[in-house]
Amino acid sequence: MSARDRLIGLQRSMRLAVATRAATIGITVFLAALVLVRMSGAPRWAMGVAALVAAVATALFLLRLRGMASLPRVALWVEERTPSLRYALVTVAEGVKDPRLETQALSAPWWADASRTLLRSLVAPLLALLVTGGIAVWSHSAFAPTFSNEPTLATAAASMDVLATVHVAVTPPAYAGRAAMSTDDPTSVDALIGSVITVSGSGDARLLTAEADSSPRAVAQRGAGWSVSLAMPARPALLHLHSSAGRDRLIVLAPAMDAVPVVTLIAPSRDTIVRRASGVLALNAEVRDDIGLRDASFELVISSGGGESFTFRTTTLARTVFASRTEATLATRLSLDSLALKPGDLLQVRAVARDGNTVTGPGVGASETRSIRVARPDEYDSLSVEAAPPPDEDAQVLSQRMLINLTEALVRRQRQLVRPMLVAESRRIASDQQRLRKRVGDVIFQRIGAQPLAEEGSEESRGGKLTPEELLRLADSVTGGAGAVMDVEGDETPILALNKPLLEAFNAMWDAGRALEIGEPRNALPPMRVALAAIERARVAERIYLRGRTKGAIVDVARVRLSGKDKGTPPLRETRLPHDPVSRRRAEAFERVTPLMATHPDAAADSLLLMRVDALGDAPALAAALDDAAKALRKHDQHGIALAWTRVRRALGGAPRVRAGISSWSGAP
Amino acid sequence: MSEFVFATAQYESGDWDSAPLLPANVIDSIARYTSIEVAPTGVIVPLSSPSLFRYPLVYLTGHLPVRFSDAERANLRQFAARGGLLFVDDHNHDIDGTFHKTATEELTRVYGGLKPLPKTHPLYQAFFVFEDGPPTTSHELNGWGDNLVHKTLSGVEREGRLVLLFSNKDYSSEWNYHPENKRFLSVDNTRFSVNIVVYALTR
Repeated sequence: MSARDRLIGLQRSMRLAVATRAATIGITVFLAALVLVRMSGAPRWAMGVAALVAAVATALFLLRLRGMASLPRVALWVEERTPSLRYALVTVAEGVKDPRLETQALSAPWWADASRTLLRSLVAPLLALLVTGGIAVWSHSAFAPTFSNEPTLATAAASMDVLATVHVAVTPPAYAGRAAMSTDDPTSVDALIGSVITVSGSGDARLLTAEADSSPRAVAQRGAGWSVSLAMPARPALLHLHSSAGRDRLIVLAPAMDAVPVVTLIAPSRDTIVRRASGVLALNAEVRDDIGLRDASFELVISSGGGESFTFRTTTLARTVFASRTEATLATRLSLDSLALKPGDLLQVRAVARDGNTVTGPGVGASETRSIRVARPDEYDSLSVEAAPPPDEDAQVLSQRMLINLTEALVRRQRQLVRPMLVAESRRIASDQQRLRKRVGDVIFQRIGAQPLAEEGSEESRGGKLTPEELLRLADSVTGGAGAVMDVEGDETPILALNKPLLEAFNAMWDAGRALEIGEPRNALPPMRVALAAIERARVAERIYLRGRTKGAIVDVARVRLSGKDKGTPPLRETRLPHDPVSRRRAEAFERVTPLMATHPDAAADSLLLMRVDALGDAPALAAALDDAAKALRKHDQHGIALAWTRVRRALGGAPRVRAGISSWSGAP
Repeated sequence: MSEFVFATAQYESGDWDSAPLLPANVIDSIARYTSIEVAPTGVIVPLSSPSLFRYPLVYLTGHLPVRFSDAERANLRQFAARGGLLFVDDHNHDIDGTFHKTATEELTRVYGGLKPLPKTHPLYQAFFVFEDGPPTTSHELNGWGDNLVHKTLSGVEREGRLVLLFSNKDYSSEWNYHPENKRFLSVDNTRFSVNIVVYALTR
């Protein structure tokens, strides 16, 4: 190999060595800057500065390549280190071809020395690179939490917007049969317990953490965005979203309760004691639910026995399935004979309904319980056995109009009947007429404060018809001489004026009853019609409204003239009740939030939402007002903020506050 | 000097006690605006009673037809001759009503013809000044009665002073409320009653 060839090889090696050294130094500078940035917590743009410094250092070192551009300069570099060559190598490098010069240029092994020099020049940069690289690896692990998930400027910029828009989708439970809803940037989510709530946004999921009631929630990556899914809890909770950029977002999870069905038992309408349990009992109930009913039925409990021995039978009747209807009617008829109730037995009836709640339910609602007891024979003397109220159609049987119809029909058939049969049927009508007369008499005597007429059997002791004068005397005896008090001018007393139509009916019924008793239905009809007309008049009689006399006023002249003596007992103002600790704590928290409203509205909104979670359980009005206030703050709606603030203060109840000094607006404490 | 006692006339026909709170209200106004010694409660005086002459001002009202008895008429004539002022107010505020027709008929028999009082009558300057004549009441246009605003009061004068003052303005309704409730009014509507009392005591 000629000397020139060896010189060209050395030139290439030198260029490679310089480039390698420049690159090594550049990387070392960058790693050192990176370590400094991590350890000092400098902002992200410092990374860019470090990269720039590294590039400049690399470029400065690459400038040394210019010294190796020509072959003679490389030869001079060799001649400087090997003086024995006596410029033979430089001469060869300049293109002179002479065997003696060639021999002189190869007389010493300068290429080996040059290679060792080049290698030695790389040792220090490589050692520096190794040390810096080691420190960089150590700092990566030591400061990972600070810089996790943001290795580049691009991702750092992206994390700024990861909570820019939060989208919430609510899917109610299937049993509710309601459509899914979605909203953007809510402060609060109101949904049924068990609803699936999906909170989503754009950006890298790794840049976000989520907590619900201090429990971490998984943040999933969905395409280009993130997503958090959770079920609506049974108690109010707070969903806390935190981005690695330091931004927070609070969303209140307000659970809505599914109310239990409301069941109203229409019939039977009251508890009853009967002598004998027979016939048909109508059962009727109304059921209602806020979301949807599943089924309803009547429950019967029959208890028998006495003393210490009782037996119970339970059965369900008329179970009806409703396809998520919100209102329904339940009706059936129960044959009391089929229950074979014995004296002393107790039948209890209630209606029960269940809703379709498959998450926290089903909710079960029950009506009041009605009891029907069969009286024992040995308690007849100590117990008021009352029959169930007759249905309306039965009550109408007793009407005077119906008695007239029956009598007229009897008159029409009179010729076809033998006398005993005529009398028997006529007396049957007379019996009803007597009962109706007793009811009219009860009305009259209850009005004047007397006892009702005696039992039907002893009614004859009243002496039949009453004259107005007898009625007045009767009233006098009851009221203790009321007649003197009512000694007003006119033809009759107020008592008689009130009762006159009914008294006329009462007496006409007496006449009718007497005629019917002796089998003369034709003669009974005129007084029966008179009685009916009198009852009609009583129905439309003018109502009298009594008005009390106005209480007189005595003027306190001295007080009016402000000249009276001060009695030293001014009316005391009632002190306001002190707030309970919870209300006081809320009021104080709200007062702390108020100054933040102007300076840090987002922080104020978050504080209000925290208060809302606390208030949702026991103060729904306050919770609603707090939600409005938080929304207004988020929207920067000044008018809405003022209104909402007023509502919150009202809901808080105006806590009496004790101030340390004089308030700023007046001298009053 | 004895204290002023507000007297309400009791007559045999009609409802003489239809405005039971008016006396207290007038007494309250007398105490409030004047230094006249006044009794804290009013009295009820039968028109036929000689005790009528103890009172310089007697108030009479009602809704129903008025028929004075002979004794009442005689007493009233005596009352007028002695300088007493009878203030009659139509509680119906209806010039076609039974009270107006019967009362004016009876009063005409006792006092002679009634004449309208001009707005410049001393009654309207006796204490408070009412430049427009008698103050209007809130009851005159309430849909009942004649539904008219009665511009003048009427009366009978003897020797330059009123002995009978007749009103269709229904002050009996306007002033018939508890005096404690006067504080709710921006303008006291019983001020004219002070004029009547002061006029009766000073003329």
